[in-house]
Amino acid sequence: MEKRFKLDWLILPLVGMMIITLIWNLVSSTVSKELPSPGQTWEKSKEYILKPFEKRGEMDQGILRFTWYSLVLVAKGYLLALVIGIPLGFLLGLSKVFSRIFDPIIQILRPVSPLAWLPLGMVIFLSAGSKASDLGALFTIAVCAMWPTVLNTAVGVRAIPQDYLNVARVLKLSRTKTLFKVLLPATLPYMFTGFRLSLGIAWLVIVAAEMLTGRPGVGGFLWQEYNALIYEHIILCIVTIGLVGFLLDRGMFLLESRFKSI
Amino acid sequence: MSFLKISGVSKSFAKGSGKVEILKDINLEIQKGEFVALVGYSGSGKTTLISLISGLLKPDVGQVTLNGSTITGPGPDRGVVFQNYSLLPWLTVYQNIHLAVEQVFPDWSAEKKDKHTLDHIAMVSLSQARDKKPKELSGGMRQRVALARALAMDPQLLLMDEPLGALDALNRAKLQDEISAIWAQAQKTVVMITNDIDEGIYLADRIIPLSHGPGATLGPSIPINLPRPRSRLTMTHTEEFKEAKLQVLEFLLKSNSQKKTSVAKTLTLPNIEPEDLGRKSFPWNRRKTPIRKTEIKNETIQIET
Repeated sequence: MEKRFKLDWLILPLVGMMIITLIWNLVSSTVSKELPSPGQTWEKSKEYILKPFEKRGEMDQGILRFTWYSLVLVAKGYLLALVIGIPLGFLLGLSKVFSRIFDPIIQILRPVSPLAWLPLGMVIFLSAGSKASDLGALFTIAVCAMWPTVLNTAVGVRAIPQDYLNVARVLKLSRTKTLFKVLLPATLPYMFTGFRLSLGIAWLVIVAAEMLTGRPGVGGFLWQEYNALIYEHIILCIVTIGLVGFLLDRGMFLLESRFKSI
Repeated sequence: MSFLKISGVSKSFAKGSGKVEILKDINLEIQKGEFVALVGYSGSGKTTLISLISGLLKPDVGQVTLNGSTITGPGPDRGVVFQNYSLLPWLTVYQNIHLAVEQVFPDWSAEKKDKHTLDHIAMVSLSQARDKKPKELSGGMRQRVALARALAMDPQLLLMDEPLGALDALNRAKLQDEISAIWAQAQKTVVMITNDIDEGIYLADRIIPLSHGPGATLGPSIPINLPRPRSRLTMTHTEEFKEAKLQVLEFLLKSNSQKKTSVAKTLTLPNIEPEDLGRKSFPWNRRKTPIRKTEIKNETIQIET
């Protein structure tokens, strides 16, 4: 890429942000008076940003504290998705019969929105009482975030070069050894692409799940402040969600490119 | 009794609806300690033959026996050096070889395995590169690792499938010398596949041409009685070399010219079925003419001459 001037990597994105802020300011002062202006938003959000870990009440906490709650739930659901998704992907990739049996079901379940899964999740865990919403959210994250991992793993397993399998056969590696010494490392780059996409979806789902269940977290806070008519905080939440999602994706990307380099 | 015996082996692969016979009635006997080179055109089924000996493929007819017992599957008693190296890219040179050592000699102590691995890395003079990944190595170095891995398994039989095919001429000559030296030292039975007649004559005790496929058969086996160690420079001027090369070339060229021309045509049968008037026409079906049965069930036949 051509380098135009020093620090362009910093200045150019800042210019973009300034343009958006200007448009936002313009819209809030002309078209939609209800939309808080950038200044108002900062004024009202200051407390949440400057004391990010403070807890004043169940639904009145610093923004990073809320983010932490959301991240913990995402981590649990995401791990669950990986634990189910990786073996499922391997089975799909290794066995043609298994793939014929379950592929149609997966293709049908894959496009179902998290908003549709959540009520079902809560119903499933209805007997858990007060824990129902948490478990329901967990279920939803796992079910929605699983698919990229499943499909990428399956593709990765199918793409393993015959040469590697021949080596395993000539060396007479046992089934477990073939799995851990050949199949798994050969599939890893594909799997990491799946992991990255899955994490993105898990983060999307958490916001929706929190909005519906009203549990404390970025999404829950957003919905509560909408009901409380404090619109500034909606923007605060959106910015936070976007930033966290971006950081998660970057992190996974770095991890992925490390494994891709093999 | 011969060490490796291939008797009446044929192998076909499914192609489309039909079958293509790759190897036809292959008979070969190899004595212990012999170095045999198989030469043939690319696509003549050389790799298939090596896969049959290694056990990665099973013959349709006939059998392959090693030391009197039939080969039913791959095993570490037959070390294979694959055409495209087939090193595991996520393992270092050391790990690639150690994996094989660990697998073949599980009862050895850790130090013995380690030493055995290092010895074989040294044998192909790669000690400097022991902790490098395959992608950091040149083609010649990768092939050396593959050779070291196969030898580290201490196989009764070493199979090499065009081991030097992907190398440039200079590297090729260098590795030929190394293979020759290693063979003289380790005294293994070797079956090597190559498309380079000079290479075969330089290395082998016996050179056998493989006729052009499909339905490839082995030609006459030509013994090479040149004294070892052989010199690349003086060897080419000897009558022995010229004679052997001529014989191999003659066979290969003859088999190529005799190759049958086969034409496969797909013909659609003429439309003699009656029109299917029983089929209802639906409003969304815009076609005016009724459907003929042949259109429903598209029949084709294959003709080969």
